Amino acid sequence: MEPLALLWDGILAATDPAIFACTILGAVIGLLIGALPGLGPTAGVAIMLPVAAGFGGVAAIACLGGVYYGSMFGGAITSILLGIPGDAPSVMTVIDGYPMAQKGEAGRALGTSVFASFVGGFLGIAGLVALSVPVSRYALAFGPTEMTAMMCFALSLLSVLGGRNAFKGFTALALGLWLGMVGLDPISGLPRYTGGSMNLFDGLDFSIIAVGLFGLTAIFTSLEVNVDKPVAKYTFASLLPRVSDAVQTRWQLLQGSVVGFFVGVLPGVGASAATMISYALAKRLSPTPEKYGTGIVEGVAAPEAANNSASYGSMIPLFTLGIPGSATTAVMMGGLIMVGLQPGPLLFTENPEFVWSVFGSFAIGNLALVFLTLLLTPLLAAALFVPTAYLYPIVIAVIVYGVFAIDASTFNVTLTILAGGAGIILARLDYPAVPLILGLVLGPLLERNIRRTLIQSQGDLLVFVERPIALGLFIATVFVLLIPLFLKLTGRKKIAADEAEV
Amino acid sequence: MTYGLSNFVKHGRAVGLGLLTAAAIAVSAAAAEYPDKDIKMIIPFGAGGGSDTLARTIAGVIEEMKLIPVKILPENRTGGSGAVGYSAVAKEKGDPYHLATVSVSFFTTPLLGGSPVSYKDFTPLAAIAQSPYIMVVPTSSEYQKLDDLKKTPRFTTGTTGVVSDAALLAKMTSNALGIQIDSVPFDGEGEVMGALLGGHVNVGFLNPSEAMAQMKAGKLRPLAITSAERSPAFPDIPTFKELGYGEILHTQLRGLVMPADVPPEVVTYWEGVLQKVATSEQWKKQYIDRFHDIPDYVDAKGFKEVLERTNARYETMMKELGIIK
Amino acid sequence: MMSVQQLDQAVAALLIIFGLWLVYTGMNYGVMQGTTPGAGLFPIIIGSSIVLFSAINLYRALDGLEKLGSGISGREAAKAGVVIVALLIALWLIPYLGMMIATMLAMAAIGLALRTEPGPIFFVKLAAVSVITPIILLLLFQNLLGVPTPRGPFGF
Repeated sequence: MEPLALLWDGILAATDPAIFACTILGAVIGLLIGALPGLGPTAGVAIMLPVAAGFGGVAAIACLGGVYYGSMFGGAITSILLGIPGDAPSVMTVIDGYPMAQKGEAGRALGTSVFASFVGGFLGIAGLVALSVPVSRYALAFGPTEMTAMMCFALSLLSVLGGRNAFKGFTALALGLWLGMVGLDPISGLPRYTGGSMNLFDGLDFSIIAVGLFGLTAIFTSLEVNVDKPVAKYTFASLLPRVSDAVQTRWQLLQGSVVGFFVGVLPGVGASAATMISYALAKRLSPTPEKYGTGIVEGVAAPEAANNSASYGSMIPLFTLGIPGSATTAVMMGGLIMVGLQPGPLLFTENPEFVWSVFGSFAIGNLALVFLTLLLTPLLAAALFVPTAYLYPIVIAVIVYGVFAIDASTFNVTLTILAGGAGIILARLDYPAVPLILGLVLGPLLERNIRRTLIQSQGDLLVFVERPIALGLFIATVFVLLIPLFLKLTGRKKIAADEAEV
Repeated sequence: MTYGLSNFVKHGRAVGLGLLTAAAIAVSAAAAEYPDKDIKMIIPFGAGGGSDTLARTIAGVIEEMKLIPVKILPENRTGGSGAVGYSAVAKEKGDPYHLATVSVSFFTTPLLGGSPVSYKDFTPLAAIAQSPYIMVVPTSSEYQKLDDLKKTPRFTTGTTGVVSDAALLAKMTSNALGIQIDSVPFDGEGEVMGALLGGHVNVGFLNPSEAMAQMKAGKLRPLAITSAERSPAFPDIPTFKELGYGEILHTQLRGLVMPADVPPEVVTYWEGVLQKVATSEQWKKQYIDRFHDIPDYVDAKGFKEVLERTNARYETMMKELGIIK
Repeated sequence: MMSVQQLDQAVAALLIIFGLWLVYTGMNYGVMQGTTPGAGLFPIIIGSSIVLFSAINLYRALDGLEKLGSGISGREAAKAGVVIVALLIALWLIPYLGMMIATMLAMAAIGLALRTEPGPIFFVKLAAVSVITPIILLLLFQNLLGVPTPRGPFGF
């Protein structure tokens, strides 16, 4: 195994004190930025870029990488404890993580997210090391046509996340798709639904809506329950992570890691979509789908493994081809140029030591984060003992600063507050928030890729079935949509979407 | 920023006279001993991008060479496809302590009605490099030279955004060669490169730095370059002009602007500073050699003409596409 | 006070109007752009589906098919309202007072609205929390992360 030997050399090189210190610095900053609502990995890497560039060489990229995967660890913290997604890829963690915290199992949920992040990270690094060349070829095979098919497949999987009344789920999805259209339409060049405001020209940042709709709404709707009743009693044991959870969720961990890796590799898709697909798949494959959303460890394990593994997957096109597939890796590419390297297909052959040392630092950082977060877990979970009359003002202040920091704009903060207010009405009327968020994330990908495909084909719809990958994905889509119907008709199984509450 | 404006409107009348006096003093002071305080360089885009690197490199070189007695403080002001940052600069009318670099969005966002300010609200200072575009095809393609493209009636190319330099060049090349190159808008340079290498589009118009790495690796084959003369970084790539298509001439000028109505002495001052930057070893090492642009100094007058011409090109293109009336 | 059923009907009706508006705007953006879908096609599709689904939801709501949880109690609505209004006022105050002071005021107001403990100790603790948190956040965001936060007349 040549890659293993090379990785081992890389790990040894990355134990150099200076590189190690920069790796840990990046990981800790990433943890912090991931946990702060509003700021995600892209903002984190951009913020650290000028500082990291000063470290030079391996240390600089090790630090930036640390910010990236560190934020994947950190994002879960606020999602679980407060129901506020720290960044976009941790939204799905809210669905099961937050109910677990409310049941008094915050420590278990946090522990599971740490295990999942570690396993996802470990398998992601393994994939990065062993499969990067064939996988980069697979990533290139995905053009607009394939991406369209991929999005249809993703949406068909996600139909499982509807909520009680399917029609309200679809309405919420449509509203999310509409929110995704706000801003400059890149295909026609027309600004849509901006009301002439330059604040909306770039579209709605996902975090602005998600933090409002999940975080603030969770706070607003729990005012009655949490404030007027005494805080639920937690035992110390419930604050500790459990090793048995890692064993129990092994299949979700594996599934999340694999899905995260292969979805994360695709240019333009990213970790958020990977977590959504992974969560939906876990629910689809489960013998007891109705338990998802009520606070089970499996629902935390799948998306958390996926987002970590996706972060390494998305680095493959950057390191092997010199193509930044996501906003975060685009900033990392800026970092590579700033330390004097030319990202491109020759990076591996011209600077093998550099690349392997960076990969080695990933392995070290991933392991270090496990210890860091496990130590922090009881401490963080104890935050729930703070009475809400103090906790909520603090949390709201953090949200205000975090959302402000996205574009240094109070306009965004206003939008978040309005989204939180609208969320109360939606929650009370049973319009589920998850499909709305899915629409916001996946809608632009779907719309743009359909239109790109049709520009290429000059309006010919046949291309969607002429290309093998696209055809395969469309067949899979039909399959996914028909199986539950078939099972229902034959009376063998309930349709998850009808019964479950998300 | 919006608040600053509303403040100004509210108190503007009461202190209007005072402001005028103050402005007069500022101008005469500027003429005497400009610059006497730190200069803000607003970057309307995020850290790590092309505009950010350009702006910070210029600021770094000026500092390193000690060309001005004060500091340049780069600050990222993102949002609105550049509109937020550019309008923050433009509203400081007459203030010679605000700088910005130009970009494609400098023209396109205002034309699309997305910004309250346009290129007319700025004073061009000078340009210190030009960035040509290289027309490429994947190495696996059958086209060896530019005229080979005439064998096939239709191509597609990837661009970032529907109105961009790549889209503009696709249009120019289509007209000149009598073929059809349709532009497929993608969401970033990385996606464009992915589509090109994956064979989802056939031709590309790339920045020198993007093209260099892929050409060295043997993934892309250059056909022609859009500068007036061959680029020192790519001596083997013929210009469109050499190949008989002199009308295909379009480069992006890397230059600095200030808010409108800054005193002419300030413009002269900066022309001097930027001329020294353009010819310096530091600039060559830190920017030209890294991004493979063509070193070139263009004074304020020439830069202004280029800005006007570029804006007119985008405007015509948008009208042809039916985006604006 | 509106019952939750009435609210459900009102929202469904509003969404139908909203969907129709989306269809209308979509027509203005242009359905086709040559042989490819224009900027307006997807708004039209989305708008029509919102109209369709909301019509079903409205029918279900009017027919009493929808089983909704308890509505929003007056107290809860009042508390949520106070929090939202406090935040919006704080945002409006940011350019005059700076982000830190505005946040301090908002925190104090929200804390008072959520007060459950009796006694003067609460005020001391809340004041401490409201003063310390924004200072930490200012240091964190402005000094560590380099976010330019709006400053007030006192320079912070």
